[in-house]
Amino acid sequence: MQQAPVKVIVLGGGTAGWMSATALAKLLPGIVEVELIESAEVGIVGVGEATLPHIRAFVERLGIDEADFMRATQATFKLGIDFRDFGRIGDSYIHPFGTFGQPLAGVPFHHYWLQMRAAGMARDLGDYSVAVAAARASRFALPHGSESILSSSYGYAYQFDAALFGPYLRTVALGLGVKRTEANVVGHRRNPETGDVEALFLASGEERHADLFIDCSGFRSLLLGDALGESWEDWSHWLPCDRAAALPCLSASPTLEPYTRATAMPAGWRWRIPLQHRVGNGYVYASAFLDDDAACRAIVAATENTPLADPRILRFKAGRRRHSWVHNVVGVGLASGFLEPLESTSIYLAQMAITQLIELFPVAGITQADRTSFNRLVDMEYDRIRDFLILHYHATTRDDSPFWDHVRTMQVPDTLAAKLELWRATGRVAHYSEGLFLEQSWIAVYLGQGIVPHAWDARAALPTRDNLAQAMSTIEREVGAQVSGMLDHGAFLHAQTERLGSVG
Amino acid sequence: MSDNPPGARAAPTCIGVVGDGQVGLTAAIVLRRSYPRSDVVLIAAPLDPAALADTAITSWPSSLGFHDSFGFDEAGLILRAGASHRLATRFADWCGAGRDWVLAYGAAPNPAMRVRCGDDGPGDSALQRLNASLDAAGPQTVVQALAASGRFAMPVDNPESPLSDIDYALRWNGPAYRSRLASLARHMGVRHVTAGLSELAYAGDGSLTAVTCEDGSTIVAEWWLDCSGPAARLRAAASEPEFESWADMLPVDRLLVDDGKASPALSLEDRVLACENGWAWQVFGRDAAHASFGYASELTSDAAAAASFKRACGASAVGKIVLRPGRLRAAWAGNVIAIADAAASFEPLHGLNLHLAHRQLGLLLELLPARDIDPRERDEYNRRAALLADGVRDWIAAHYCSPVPRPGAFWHHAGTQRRSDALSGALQQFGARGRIPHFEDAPVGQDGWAAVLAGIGAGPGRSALLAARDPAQRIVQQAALAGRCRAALALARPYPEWLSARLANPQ
Repeated sequence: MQQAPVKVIVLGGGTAGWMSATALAKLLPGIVEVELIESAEVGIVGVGEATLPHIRAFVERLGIDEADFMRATQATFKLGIDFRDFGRIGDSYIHPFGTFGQPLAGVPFHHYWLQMRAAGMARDLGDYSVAVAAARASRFALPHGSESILSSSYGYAYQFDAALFGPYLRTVALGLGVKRTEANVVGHRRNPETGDVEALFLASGEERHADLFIDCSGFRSLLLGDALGESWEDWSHWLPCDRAAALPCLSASPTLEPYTRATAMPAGWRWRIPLQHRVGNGYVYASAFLDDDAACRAIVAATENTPLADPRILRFKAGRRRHSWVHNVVGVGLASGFLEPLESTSIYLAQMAITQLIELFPVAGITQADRTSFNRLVDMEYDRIRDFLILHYHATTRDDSPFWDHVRTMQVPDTLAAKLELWRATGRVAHYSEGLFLEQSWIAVYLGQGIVPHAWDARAALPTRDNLAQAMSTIEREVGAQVSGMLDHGAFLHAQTERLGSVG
Repeated sequence: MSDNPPGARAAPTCIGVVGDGQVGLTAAIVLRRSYPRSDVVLIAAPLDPAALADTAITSWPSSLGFHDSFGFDEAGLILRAGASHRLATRFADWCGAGRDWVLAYGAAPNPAMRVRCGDDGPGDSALQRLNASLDAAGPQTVVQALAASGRFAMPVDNPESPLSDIDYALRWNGPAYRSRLASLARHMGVRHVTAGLSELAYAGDGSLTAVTCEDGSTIVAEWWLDCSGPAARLRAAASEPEFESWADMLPVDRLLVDDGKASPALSLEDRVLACENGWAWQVFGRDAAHASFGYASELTSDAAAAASFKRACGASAVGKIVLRPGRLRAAWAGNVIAIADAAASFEPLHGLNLHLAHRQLGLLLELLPARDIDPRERDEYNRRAALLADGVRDWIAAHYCSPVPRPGAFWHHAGTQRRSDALSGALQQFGARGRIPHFEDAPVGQDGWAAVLAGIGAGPGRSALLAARDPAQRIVQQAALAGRCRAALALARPYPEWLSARLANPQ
């Protein structure tokens, strides 16, 4: 009746590795036996200092206390991303974790907003969004589902120190019985009949066997890429940024912003992520358009305060493995694919893969159907996020550098071209209910980057201008009232000492 | 159009709706509400008995929300259209004699509530007893418990209350339902032309510009809804539309209907009785118990079907309907949008024909065309309308996919028909891992899928997540569920009593 547990080896002790090990051990007790192999000699990329709201469900499911987790990772709250200079130099908009306005008579709010904008009577779109207005005011409150429509019209994520997240999970995982082995993997053996990976060879001469291997070895993709030879689908022609120069500094801002800032640069963009104890900065650039030294100089020059270290160069490549689950190897994180950090999707992609793996977990042997279901979903997520990221570069009038000339004029994927056409002609967003970025996100970026439709829903012209103006100003006032009832983000955090990490 | 300055698109001057059954009436009402300053002209067409959305006397629970959205109130249906409530449909003898299963609305049973002993559960005797009692007694959701005991209460918003689990559908008297729609349409200012179509006029680009009716009146409209039933008269008049046949995927292509004179019954449960060569579906209305019999013409003669129908529920067949299962490849072509049976035709279980029509109209309102039709909007509509129609087809087909089908040629035929990739995927994932895949624009949600797949015995398979659950926690959850069911039963009243009180005091 009780079967022997499925033996799982997680290869790699970075963020994806410890996320995988912790989730499997926590959610499948008695079903799995997890061993994580990590090498002290291999550094971790530490992807993502900024996250998406989905991480909250993940942390909660692992039974982790939010305050404890925030304290350990020096986390702040995040309501969205402020994109500057993307559509045009001088422009700024926030892509919020929340909605804009409310539908009226079944017609989405943005059609009415477009109508009033054409009449010169609309305020900035963000004034109708609690998440945007709160972010701009650097205020924060936890959303409440039950109080009103507006108080539940937004979500939040965290900005945290990624280098602290993995070790934090490691402590949790070890407490759940995950076995940690520090070793260098020097080879592997495959079953000559099935092609499955049977064993890993450690430098010490030992072997490690498992039923299922989770490849979290980062870009090296030791199992999925090297051992099984799964090919790589390269997307760098659409997403040419392939390096980042990262540089932490102390904050020079009197306020603690509950949002990440992404500022477009001549050969890419730079991030600014305020944490409790410091500010993360980095210049994400395309090496075809900028050399490393110039990137480092640029990020040093752009940094608001004394750097805490020298710039560190990270290298990456946009794309994904053709399949993420092959034989008995599942790639999670960078081993399976990478999309640049513009919308903070890295940790989400690892989380999504882990969640799907657990749902489809092969308790009585892996079937091709398990792999197919898993791969279909991973492909869908990657493809849709890819289109959304490309939009940020392509929807621009910038012609001030060869990089922006390239992304502005490149041919985008057909899937994105069709979405853009529909939007431009009708103000409608191609509808999907599965995947990461849904209608409100597309509206934020389209309108934020100046892609204004030529035409929109005829029903937006039905109310009289006065009635519409009144309805819109009611929403804007209510948003304002909601935000003025919130605390300053820094004050909110400091009032909750259980969420505060140590200083310095 | 792109020369114009940016702006809201112009509203249509006039929209024509052809077919004045309950689908056409509903369409005209919702269009008129959306465009109160546009003319909406409803043009009569003879009611085709095979227009199953037009003859439906019931639908899926979500149709009630759709009714609400256009001010078609439920109280009026109960007071004046003989409506009654359904919580569940029993599929009797579906997988063999005595092997019933029940589709109850609302959340599907939590698979964690049921642990098959000797499979993946621990050998805890208290747990085994609980499982045995659950398996024997049946109710694993509040709605199942209510349906089984014939008690009813209206759902409430508060999730703490067991009554918040309740979801229900209505069945009603057909003529009364239509007449209420007709008076609402009149009240809304829909222009109703009762003379039928006689001539259609087309522009050079192939779009339909005007129709002339038998009374000589001519209606000019920018775009049209074809609600004329399976004949799709507007669409077919232009050119033979491309039709995707489902004959190799859905078994029923003939329906017998009874005279609608069987004694009425008050029941929270309708019944589909599996017979050797098809099924008999009984809808227990307050006006009458309505029965129909579905079968496959290549396997069963009309006479044999009529005999089975008689045996199954004592009904005399007074009408035969020929179904041609399938859908138009593109529901919207040019400036004509096919709705309901004009767009997709399939066997009527659960009243899904009308449900699909409501979902199509909901989609149309989402992508509502302006005066000029934008081809990209049309493409998006067609993409999503195809998902809706295929979703209905796959879910109905799933009813026939029992791993141990009932004996009989019909059931063998039905169980070995072609399955779409989506259906195969759902069967595989539920069978192997107890999981329902996500479907975009699904007309029936995950709970409906889980209920059917579990009902026919196609799972749930071994889920690592469930197997890993702490047995003590399971016992706690099972006890909580049992308590919730008991509390709901105590709050609810026997349905006849509840209904009389409701009729006596409509508030």
